[in-house]
Amino acid sequence: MTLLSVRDLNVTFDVPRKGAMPWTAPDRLRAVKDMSFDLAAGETLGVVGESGSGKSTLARAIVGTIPATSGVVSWEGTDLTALSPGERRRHRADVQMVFQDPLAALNPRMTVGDIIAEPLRTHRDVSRTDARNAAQAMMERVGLLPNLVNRFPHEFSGGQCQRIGIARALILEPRLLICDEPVSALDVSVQAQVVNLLRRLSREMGLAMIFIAHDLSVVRHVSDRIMVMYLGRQMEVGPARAVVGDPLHPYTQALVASVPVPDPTARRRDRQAVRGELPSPLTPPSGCVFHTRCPRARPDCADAVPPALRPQPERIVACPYHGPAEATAAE
Amino acid sequence: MSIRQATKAFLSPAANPFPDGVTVPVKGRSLWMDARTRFLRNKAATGSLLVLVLLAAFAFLGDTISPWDNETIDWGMLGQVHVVGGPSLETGHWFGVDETGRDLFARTAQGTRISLAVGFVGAAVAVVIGTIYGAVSGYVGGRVDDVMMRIVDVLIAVPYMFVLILMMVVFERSVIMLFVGVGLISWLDMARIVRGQTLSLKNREFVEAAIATGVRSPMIIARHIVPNLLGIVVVYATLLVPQMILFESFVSFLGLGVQEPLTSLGALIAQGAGQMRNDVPWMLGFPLAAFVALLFALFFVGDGLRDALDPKDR
Ligand SMILES: Nc1ncnc2c1ncn2[C@@H]1O[C@H](COP(=O)(O)OP(=O)(O)O)[C@@H](O)[C@H]1O
Ligand SMILES: [Mg+2]
Repeated sequence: MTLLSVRDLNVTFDVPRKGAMPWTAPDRLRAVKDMSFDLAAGETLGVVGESGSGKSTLARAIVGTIPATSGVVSWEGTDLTALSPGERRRHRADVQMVFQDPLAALNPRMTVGDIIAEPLRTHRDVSRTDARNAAQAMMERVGLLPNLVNRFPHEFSGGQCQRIGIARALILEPRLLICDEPVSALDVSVQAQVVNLLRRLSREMGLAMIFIAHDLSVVRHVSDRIMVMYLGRQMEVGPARAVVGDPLHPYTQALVASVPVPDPTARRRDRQAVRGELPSPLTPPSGCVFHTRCPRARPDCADAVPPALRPQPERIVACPYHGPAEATAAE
Repeated sequence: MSIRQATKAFLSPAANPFPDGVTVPVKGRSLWMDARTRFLRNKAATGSLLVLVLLAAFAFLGDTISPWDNETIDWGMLGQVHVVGGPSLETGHWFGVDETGRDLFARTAQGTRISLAVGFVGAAVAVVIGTIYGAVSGYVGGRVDDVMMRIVDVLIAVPYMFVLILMMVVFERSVIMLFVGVGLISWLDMARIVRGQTLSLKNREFVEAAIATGVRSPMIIARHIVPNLLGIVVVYATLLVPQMILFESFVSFLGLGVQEPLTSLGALIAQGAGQMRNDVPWMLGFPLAAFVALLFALFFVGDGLRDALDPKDR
């Protein structure tokens, strides 16, 4: 059953030109362009792309903290972008978000108990004590000691702060959790714990998740499906195993190749995902936006935007010259 | 708590630094408590706070401990104030008398009281109106922000000293009028400062988290914006108090502020300065000393608060 369905979503920012007069038209930064995908109940979609590729913007447009410029975000058939702010607010209990910087996402002046209980007190008519008890129960569930309710965020470590953020996001028992790089700011030793916690909770609560990360190493363990983004465009979508095991798009292949391999006998991989710099999103390359860095680029790649092809069922690749990774290596 | 839970809690990576207090909620240390510790470590600030408390005690209790009140004229002194009117323990005029034979100790206490009141009324208006105005303007943003801030710009551009003097001339010269005047101007800078802070707070992730959760705007302002502004508001308010006192003193020095029989430090200093040639230095000395001590103490306390509440270390 489709829970969330995104169709032709565009998010454009107006960026004032540097040093220009106030009346000149601002530059238009297309942070998310023509994005379409579906998400089933209980499914986890991993979203991967270099930083600056519009992953956070996509998450914000779905949650509704920034407006979509055009397109449809529909939740069980209701178009959320068309709702009034009041109607939209009622839907917010269903979709919650976990943020990248765990400490910055917590109000430094509130106790942990109040932070976790805030969504509950916003959407449900509960007493202070009930809210506090619910917060304590939730703390226990995410692996925090419930007797720490009266503490303040700055008294916790990064990993613990992220658990607080997760507790806050889950206290309303939402149906979709959007995790925007939930472990990028954490120590490597803590990352696995937080990822496992998210995996366990999503299974227990039947949550659908959109799990955002800038490399594949984390995403491939949690996702059912993976979507690869580059400069706000969708490059490839498909089942996690297929995308990681048999990447078709040259950009995905570069991402897969850059994942560190634990096997010491395997030959050293280049840590940088793709050669060259990420082009400015203000002046994206013509045609296929990836052609400036693509190992398989052909002259006509700069001419037309490549159509979304479906080479296999369930898979979408935005590259007419896609193919197995070996082909790239041979070139 | 069951064994299973206890084991889980113990094995949890979030393990409590105080494992023996597992069931009792632990008290947290708020940022306010940290700030208080830092403030108390600052010697100049705590010393000044003590001076401030003593001055306040002097202002409000001075009348009751002095043998003379602030209105009674000591007829025995009249005509020979410069000879016998000096500070003395025997006559009971600890600070001497003013040129009309009134006890200067009681008058200085009264003046300090009025000056403190003017300062605190100004600061209170600034805190309440300035904070709400600035937070709403900054948080709502867009057109509303433009209009609200242009209003402040216009009010700041008004030469308020001139307006206040006109008001004093047209209406009755009363303390109330002075309070109104001080209240009208004191919140403007505060509103600007608070708006600037709100603009940066608005983009913090915890505010975004609240919006994403569906918290309503008034609640976000009250729960997430204002508590995080209070540090800067407190600092600015304490620095505003001496500014308002100076402002009142200036108006009173010109003879336009509080009127007899009320007095303020500015008025007393003006009178004392007028008597300089009559060999009565105490008439200027004591009010001036109280004035300087008050201003210095307030500035040091404000400075200490700024260091203690410095938002940089967060
Ligand atoms: N509020 C904003 N105003 C203008 N530009 C923005 C804004 N938010 C993001 N951007 C731009 O949109 C692009 C995508 O950003 P983001 O979604 O944060 O990428 P990611 O999360 O993948 O790192 C970036 O070029 C960024 O500079
Ligand atoms: Mg991001």
